[in-house]
Amino acid sequence: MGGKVSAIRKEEIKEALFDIIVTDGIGRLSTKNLALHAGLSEGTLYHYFKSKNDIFQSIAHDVENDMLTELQKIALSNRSPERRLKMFICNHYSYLTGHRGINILLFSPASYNGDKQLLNTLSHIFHLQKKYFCKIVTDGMAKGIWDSTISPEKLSGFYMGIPTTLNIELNLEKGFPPNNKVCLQIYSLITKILMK
Amino acid sequence: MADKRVRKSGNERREEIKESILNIVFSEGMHKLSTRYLAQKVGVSEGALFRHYPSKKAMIEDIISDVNVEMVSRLKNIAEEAKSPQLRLDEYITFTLNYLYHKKGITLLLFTEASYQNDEGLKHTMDDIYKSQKQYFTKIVLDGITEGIWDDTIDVENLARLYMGIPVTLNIEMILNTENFDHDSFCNQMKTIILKVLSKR
Repeated sequence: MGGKVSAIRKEEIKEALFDIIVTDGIGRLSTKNLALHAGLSEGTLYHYFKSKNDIFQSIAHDVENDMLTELQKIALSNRSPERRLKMFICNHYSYLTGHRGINILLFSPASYNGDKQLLNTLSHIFHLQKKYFCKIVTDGMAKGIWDSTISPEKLSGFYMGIPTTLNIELNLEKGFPPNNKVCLQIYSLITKILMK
Repeated sequence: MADKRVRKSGNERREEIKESILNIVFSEGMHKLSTRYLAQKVGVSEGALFRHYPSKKAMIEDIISDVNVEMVSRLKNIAEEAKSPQLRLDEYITFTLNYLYHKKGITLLLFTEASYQNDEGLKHTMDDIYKSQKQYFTKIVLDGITEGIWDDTIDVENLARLYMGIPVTLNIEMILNTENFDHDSFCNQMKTIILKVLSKR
């Protein structure tokens, strides 16, 4: 078996996992159920991943590679803070709304399953999102564009309410406001807070 | 066999059970919440637990009904009081954050139990609690806008969403920063941020 086949299989398993989380809830996620959704035997499933937490770790790794790398690039680019802030919010929003299963996984404490390592990975991801956002805000303040009496740290915490709220709304209503207008509205609320 | 120890009233016992549930959820996580472990924490037998509640679900439902009585109806009163929108908003945020800060574990229970158990009835109740909080907050904001105190060009729906993220952020901060979390400063900064969004410029 080539590595490519294995990689495809792993993707399929992750897709099946998202399907279950989005439609049935994290509570229904067993390896048995997952094998069934992915069209594999449980034995075969264990060939690709050691455990459920192993799959979660792999997904967390994807998030680091995709979303976090992109957000970091935006935060560190040499565009103006305003431009970076807008790109950051819209990219973040579109990633999270486009990957509903990931959003549930990242922001539902139930998914930690008591696994310390996973909890650490998830809080690491949470902190990096906050940190990159905070970097843009701090840059804008340093350049004298934005009000420096606001605590960048607290504002970043406040901003992180958006993904968490979306997660709750997704869990409760299984729906999301998908349009691009939302991220621009959030952007304008945040810039109002930052205005001098 | 007669119990020689001081017998606690049913109410007292139920309070203890609920408190223990929240403690377990907050400090050890939802997955740890078995009736066996709970009984151990309360210091009674599992059988004694079931004399007070028919099931774990019934315990959780009782906690949620407390939230409705203690928090949601109080927030409704605050939102509808005959006071200025500024005062109401201040009280609203203070009350919510204090309640959730002192009842650690509630947020986790409210916002994850539903998704974890996928119990439709429970989800419906959680949905109501979530929407009510959002709705009363929105009412205060709209009153302030109507009275000409606050900016009428802001997007109220998304502001309410950002506001609703505060309890969850509070919870995450408390979990990750257990040793040096400053509740008052958190609360004040959140108020400053909300007021800045609302201010007319």
